[in-house]
Amino acid sequence: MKKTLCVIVAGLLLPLAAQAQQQFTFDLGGGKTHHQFNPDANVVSLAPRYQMMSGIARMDLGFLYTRGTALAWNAEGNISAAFDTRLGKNVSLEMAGSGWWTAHELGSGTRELLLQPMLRIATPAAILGFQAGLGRASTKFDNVPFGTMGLSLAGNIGAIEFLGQVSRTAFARAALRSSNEWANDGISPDTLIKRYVNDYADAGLMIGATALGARFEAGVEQRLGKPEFRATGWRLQGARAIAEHLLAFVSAGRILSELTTDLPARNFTAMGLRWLWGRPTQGSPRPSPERDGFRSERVGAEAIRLGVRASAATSVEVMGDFTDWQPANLIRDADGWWELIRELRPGLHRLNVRYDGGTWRAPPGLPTEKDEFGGLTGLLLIAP
Amino acid sequence: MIRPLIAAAVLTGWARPLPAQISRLDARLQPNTAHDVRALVDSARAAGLPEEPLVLKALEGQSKGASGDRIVVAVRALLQSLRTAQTSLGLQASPEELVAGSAALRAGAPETALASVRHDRGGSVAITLSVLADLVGSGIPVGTATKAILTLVHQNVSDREFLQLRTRVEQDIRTGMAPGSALERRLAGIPAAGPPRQP
Repeated sequence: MKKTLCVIVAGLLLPLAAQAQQQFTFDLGGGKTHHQFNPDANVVSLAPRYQMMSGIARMDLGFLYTRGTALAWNAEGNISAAFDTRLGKNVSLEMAGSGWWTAHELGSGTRELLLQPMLRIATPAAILGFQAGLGRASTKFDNVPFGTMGLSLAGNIGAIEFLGQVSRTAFARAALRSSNEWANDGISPDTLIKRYVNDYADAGLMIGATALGARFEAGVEQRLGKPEFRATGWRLQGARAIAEHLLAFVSAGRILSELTTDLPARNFTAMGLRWLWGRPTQGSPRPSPERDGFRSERVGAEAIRLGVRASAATSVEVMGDFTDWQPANLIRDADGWWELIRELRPGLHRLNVRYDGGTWRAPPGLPTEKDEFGGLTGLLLIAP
Repeated sequence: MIRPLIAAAVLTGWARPLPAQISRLDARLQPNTAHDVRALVDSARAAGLPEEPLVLKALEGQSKGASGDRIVVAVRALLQSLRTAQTSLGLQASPEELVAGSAALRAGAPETALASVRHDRGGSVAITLSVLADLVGSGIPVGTATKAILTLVHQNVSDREFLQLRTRVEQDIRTGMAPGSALERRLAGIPAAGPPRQP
């Protein structure tokens, strides 16, 4: 049955992958981590990941291997696939399935399967998402169904993107015995494993922005519910392109325990390099409130940062009245955006962009006018 | 606060001295094209029209690989629209108003609309006409956009509210809403800043 299902899913996804955006990344990182099984350990991590997204489907295949000084090794893997259906101009339904697998030298590991449809509604200000799922978490000794429901809100305020989520998960029964049960003495409540948990809820907020040629993200997560399980997690992360296919990243934070996969809470600091190959995927196919591929923001009295999203381009140029209609190169950013800072006085400006030395065109999403030369020019109104 | 700033709202480089404009033309255009464009620039200066937009239009054509003839035609068309804008807005119109009015005319707005905006609105109309051109450029039918702008002018809506309207309409369009519907929706949310001006 499982093999049949795998063949069906692969048969659906592989033809799509041939014409989809695909990206392969490989992270090599190092840092310190601290959790109940691995206190104050220096670790080295390897994390290959493959992502594919077409207009109606996406797939994500990831693996993380950590080797430390205190804990010999720890491995986590995940696979997810989703099919998206547009129900209307601003509404989409995503049918998603995911699987997790964990293993470490001290235990037998855990597995999780989750089917989770998600309804997304785009509003002018943000994308509202409703999701509900059924899953099964299992260890060598136990096998417990669980259900989950969630609500999310994603959008951007100016240049700052945000994602807020609230979710609640309930297990069919409280006991899920794992090989980690012995490790329940003298540890903080958040690291207790789920054999004590009937249900729990999490709320989180993440924000991200691109500035100074780098991508910055910050997040906070709060576990709700019974007092003994309440805990706060957080994360700070920065990444910057240092070469055409290479990013440098640094991150720190505290991750709350994953109660369905039995992963304990952990503090971490890490830095490393990410190698990228292929076209970056844009996440789940969904209605987006963002301007499609162009943004502008004031960064000084008269300085404006112009950004063009062109993930697959190897060069992006802009020209307009503010460059005397001379091409100017944009600088590649960490997440598919290309940027340029120029002095633009208040008023109506005209500009064009081109990718990889191609034809000049109006920046995507901007109002346009005919340029009298057989093409279109973008109009950018800079407010006083 | 906005109004004094709008006075400075000019296209980049408007204050360039004439010799610099000429040298830019000579440096980038074929000699006969540069000669014809210079004649049009001289004509604009004599009529009290801004010259820099004409120079920039010529440089735009050069950068886009247009032929000399086509560049001259484009510059002449821009000069004509600046003249029409001046006729509609009056000889006292500022350079930034003329440029915005020219953009609105090229977007398809009727001359009478420019004259109405000038007549009914106190102070600079540069932002108002820029927003009109912007809305039409976003795909809103010119008649719908013009009617909306004139209605808001009659309601004495401020420049800041015009800019907010433009921003919100763009947000709606980005979410997939039809441009005309986005404008209609956002018009309902624009408060009147004061009593309507008496004609």
